[in-house]
Amino acid sequence: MEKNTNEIVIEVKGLKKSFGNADILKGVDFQVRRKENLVIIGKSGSGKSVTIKCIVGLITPDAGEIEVLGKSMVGVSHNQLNETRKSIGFLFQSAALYDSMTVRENLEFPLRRMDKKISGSEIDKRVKETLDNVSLSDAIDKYPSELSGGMKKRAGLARTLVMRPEIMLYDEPTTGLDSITSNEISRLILDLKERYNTTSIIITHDIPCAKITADRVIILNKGNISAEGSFDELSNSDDQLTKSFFHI
Amino acid sequence: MALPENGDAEENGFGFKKYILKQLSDFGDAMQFTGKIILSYFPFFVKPPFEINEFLKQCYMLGNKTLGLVLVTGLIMGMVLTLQSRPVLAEFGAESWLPSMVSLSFLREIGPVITALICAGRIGSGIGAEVSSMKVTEQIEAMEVSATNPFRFIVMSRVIACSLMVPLLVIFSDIAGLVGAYIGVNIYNSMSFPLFFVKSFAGVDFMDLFPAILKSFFFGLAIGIVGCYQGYNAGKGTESVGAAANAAFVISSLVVFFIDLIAVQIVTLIHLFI
Repeated sequence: MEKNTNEIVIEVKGLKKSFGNADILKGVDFQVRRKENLVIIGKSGSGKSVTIKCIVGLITPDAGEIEVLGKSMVGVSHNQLNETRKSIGFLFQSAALYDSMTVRENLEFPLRRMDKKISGSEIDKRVKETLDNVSLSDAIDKYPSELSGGMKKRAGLARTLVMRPEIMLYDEPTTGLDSITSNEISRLILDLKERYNTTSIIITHDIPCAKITADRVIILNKGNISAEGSFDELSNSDDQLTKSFFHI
Repeated sequence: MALPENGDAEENGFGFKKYILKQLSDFGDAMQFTGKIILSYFPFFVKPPFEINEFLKQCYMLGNKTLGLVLVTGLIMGMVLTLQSRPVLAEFGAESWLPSMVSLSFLREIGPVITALICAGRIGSGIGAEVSSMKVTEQIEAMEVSATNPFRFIVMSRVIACSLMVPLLVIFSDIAGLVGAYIGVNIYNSMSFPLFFVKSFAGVDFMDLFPAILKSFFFGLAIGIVGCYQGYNAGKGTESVGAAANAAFVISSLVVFFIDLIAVQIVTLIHLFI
């Protein structure tokens, strides 16, 4: 059954986070609806990565509320957090593949841990199918050190998608890649959204990536949201700060 | 040379205070980390999720890959100790005590300490570098997102493997050391292996072997804890990988000597009461 696309799947209210004397987030509020791709743009150190790490529970916020699929991610037990995390995929900036494991083992790792009842044949089927979807079937038995930057990102993406998450969080998915590979990854993100019906938050500096993937864009500046709208609205904005992100 | 301005002196004083507070805070963190490991040691085997595969893999990585180095070092140390001690004993006409003296020194002290120092260099720094690089490349966070407890999977499996493998390596080192001593004895004299064996173990009893193996367990535990602590608390940059490996080796070597000092005192006290 098609799920309601107006349903709010991620809600962030008054999110605050400081590290030492540095106030990174000063009260961030936003919502993400089902099947929406929200792109967050901002300068380095503006708190983009901190925001999505708070959403997935890797960083505990100082104040504010975060709800994912109607469940709170703040002040809950580790087990409750892990239960909600089963619905969230997180692509790290460096892809974060486990060096000591092959691509196949990297994909099997979360599957075996999050779903204890899954059979060996089902795992094998899911791994091969997911790798096929990111065009990485040939690298199934390779180690991360044998992969190129783009292939690592694809493998990292496959590792998150193998869990069939409802929500995807991308932390700078195109950083460190050449423009052609960046474009391929951006198209892949869009393609996977259609294929897996995922809701996504994409953190990026890469404006072409934002253009391809965004349904809505948020600009984070000095710990606050300074602008919000569609890519076209923001790229044609008269505001100097907003303009500076889109016109290099 | 210009004297420091008042402001500089105050700043220096403040900097020193800050440094001391930072060191105390780091020490507190290290103690908390150690406490967490000690409390999780036995539950690791009885409380799910069981990380037996990772534990066995670490046992293989730490034990098997250090064995060759430990055997060669033990063999050489056994020979050197014998060759160095022989002239002194010969001077007093006590050359027949050579196997007994060498075996006692080796089993009680040299075997465990030399093996622990090799393990601090080979295993401790290896763990520090591996875990810190996992942290730098966000692998630890990725594990957490995959509903895996990284402390249990990464830290506990390595610390427990280390605490069990170091005593085993010490036993192998002792055997190699005694073989080295046998070779050393036979370079200048001729002694059959059965006679060497009997003479070697004539002066050795349970209270020589058991404390040595027990302290090796604590050496292993300390090497694992220091390596994991340095790696787990490494900074974010790639330079922190080298720093963690280096700190793991230096600190675990020092801790080995401290544990040895305490162990010697305890064993001496026990000997007084038995």
